[in-house]
Amino acid sequence: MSQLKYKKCEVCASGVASLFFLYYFFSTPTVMAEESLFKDELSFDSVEQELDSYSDSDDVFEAEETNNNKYPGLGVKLSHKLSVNPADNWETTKQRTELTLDIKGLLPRSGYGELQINAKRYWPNDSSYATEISDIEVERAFTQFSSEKWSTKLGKYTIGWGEIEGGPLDVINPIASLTDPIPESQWLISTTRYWNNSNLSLFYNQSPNITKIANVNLNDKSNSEFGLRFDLKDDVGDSSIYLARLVPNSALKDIANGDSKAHPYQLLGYSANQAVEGYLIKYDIAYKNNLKHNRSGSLVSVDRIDWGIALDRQKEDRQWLFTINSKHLVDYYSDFLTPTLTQNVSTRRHNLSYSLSVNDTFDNSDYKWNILASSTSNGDMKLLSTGIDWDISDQWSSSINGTKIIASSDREFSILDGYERVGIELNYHY
Amino acid sequence: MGPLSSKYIYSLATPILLVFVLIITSIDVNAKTNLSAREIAELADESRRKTTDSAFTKIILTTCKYGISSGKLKCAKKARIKVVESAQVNTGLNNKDVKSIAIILEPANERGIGMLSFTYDDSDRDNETWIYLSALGKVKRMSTSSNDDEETESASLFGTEITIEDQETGKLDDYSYKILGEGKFRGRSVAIIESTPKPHRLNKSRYGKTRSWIDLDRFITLKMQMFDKNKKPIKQLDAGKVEKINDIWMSRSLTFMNLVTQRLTNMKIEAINFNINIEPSFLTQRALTDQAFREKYLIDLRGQTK
Repeated sequence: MSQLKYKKCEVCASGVASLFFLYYFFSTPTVMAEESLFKDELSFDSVEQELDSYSDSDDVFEAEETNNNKYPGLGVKLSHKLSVNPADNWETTKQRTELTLDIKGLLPRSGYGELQINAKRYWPNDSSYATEISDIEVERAFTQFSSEKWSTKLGKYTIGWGEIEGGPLDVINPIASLTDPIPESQWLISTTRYWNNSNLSLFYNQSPNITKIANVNLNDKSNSEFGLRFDLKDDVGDSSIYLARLVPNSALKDIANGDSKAHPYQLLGYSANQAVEGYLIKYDIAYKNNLKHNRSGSLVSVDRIDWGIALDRQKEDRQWLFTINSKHLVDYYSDFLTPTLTQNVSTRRHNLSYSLSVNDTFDNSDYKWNILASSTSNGDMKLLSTGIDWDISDQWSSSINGTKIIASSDREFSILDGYERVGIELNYHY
Repeated sequence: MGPLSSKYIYSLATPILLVFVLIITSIDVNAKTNLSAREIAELADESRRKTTDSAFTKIILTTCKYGISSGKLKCAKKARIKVVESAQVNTGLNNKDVKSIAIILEPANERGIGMLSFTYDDSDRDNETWIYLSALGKVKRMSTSSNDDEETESASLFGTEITIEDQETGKLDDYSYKILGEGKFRGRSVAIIESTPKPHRLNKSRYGKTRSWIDLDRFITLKMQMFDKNKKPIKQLDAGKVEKINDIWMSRSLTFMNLVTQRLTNMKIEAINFNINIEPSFLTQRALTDQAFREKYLIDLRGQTK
């Protein structure tokens, strides 16, 4: 073989080897994996890592022993609540101590029961102190019995209808106050029939709670309310149909005679939720028939369509909730009046309100914050509420919150204009 | 043979020897497993799925801010502890969907709070989660995903560092896989698998990629690192107390560390049983609202656990 041919072969062989080497290097990185990936930066409890003597029972973290609760169904909570009014020289409006006893557990014959009793002690600068020093109330007390297809619940509890809290369909249990969104429980009986992906619930309330109007006589509290709800779960989401005869949670003042009454009305409703493009959309719609309204010296029956839509989005620990609620009077006359505590104002046919709430934690710590901004479309009322919750430990928690309301002086929310509160709460749970 | 031939042989020897060495070492590495990255991921997913098939567990969740001292993991502040019971079944096409319910037993002020989750293998189908709000008397569906190119986080399990996404199985077609290395880790032969979400999955996930240290004998994950979309490590999972229960290898202690907030949650499985009869009706919203039905059913399931 000539020298030139030998050289060519040598170059050729070297080139093939190099190509092979490069191909291997880039296509099989297993060989080149960093050794650091196989090192453990954490120590196991009883392991000598240098000796590589791991055992299956080792662990990187040793959990604390739990305190066995002797009475798992018993909860005791002690709270102290203080509220002040910044608009009135920071005058104290609420100062009370509450003791809540909570008992949950099984009953004979496949039953279940809950009992929550709340005892309040009002301090001298509390607004309730003038009428009572203390109060004991059954917040919740019910029994429930269930079989394979049926369930019946009897007692004092809360039924939440609709997808939107406080929305068009959430009308069975009244909300305690504007700044306390937790509904008041009522004495109810309900029964539910279950199928695979659906259920039918019926409820009956013999004596619905009605919020009275200050200094106005409340007539005829004898009306009962009842309703049924059909729930369906499918691949898209949850949907429900509602049919009910209800009593309004607040009495309506009759301008003509100065008395008040909560007149029963009928409701036909629909609600659903659906995930769309990363948002959870919830909507409620209700047709309310035979509502009463003041008109030129008499009460007339009107129909109204209420609807609400909410966009719910979770981003890391932050939750955003944007809600629109609407009330549209089907029957409308320009001399409709809405009575307030101080005056009678004209009624708008269509009312729209918006709210945006955000809640999150600070750096995923034990501190959570929340903001709620709400407004009617015509600017009759604007509300801003904000708060910080601190989970001190499993037993202790505290919160601070503030609320401010601005309302038009010549509209239906005028009594709320200038409302300001700052509240502090400290809780101990056993 | 002339001097030119000898020189030829010697000059070729180096590249030939080099190729020979590379082939031998290559064969040696590949001989540890003939499985591809995807196959290893499938086996690990199948192994994990066995732990959710008709399983009832009692879990202790310990959450705290942590520190590392002399290589040891410790709580820097007093831990928050929750005791939870959970029932899970595999369902759907090829049993790749999971339905699960978790109920808090302790602390007392949270007792009875329940969370129902449906996770689907089909990436076109959103997972669903509901929670019962007893004060409001209603079941609330929770939003669990976001869209666009913003960072997302699925709902956490009762406020711990464990998210619904962390507990998901399936959706293997939504990721691409590669083996980063094979070797010994904590005394076991493992393969390190890097999973990267494909574009359509990326928008729904908190993580830009994950690395899993998978035991090649038992196909359980011993360690996992999660990275954000900027490839920065943000979470780590370490598995301990490995046992074989009912012929299924599993870890009874999973520690999730949030590397950003320096908080961890340890999930310790106190009791577990597989292949028990869980009625489909128990994994519905009824179990959240009908306490009598739920408690009666839980008593039956508790009697079957070890």
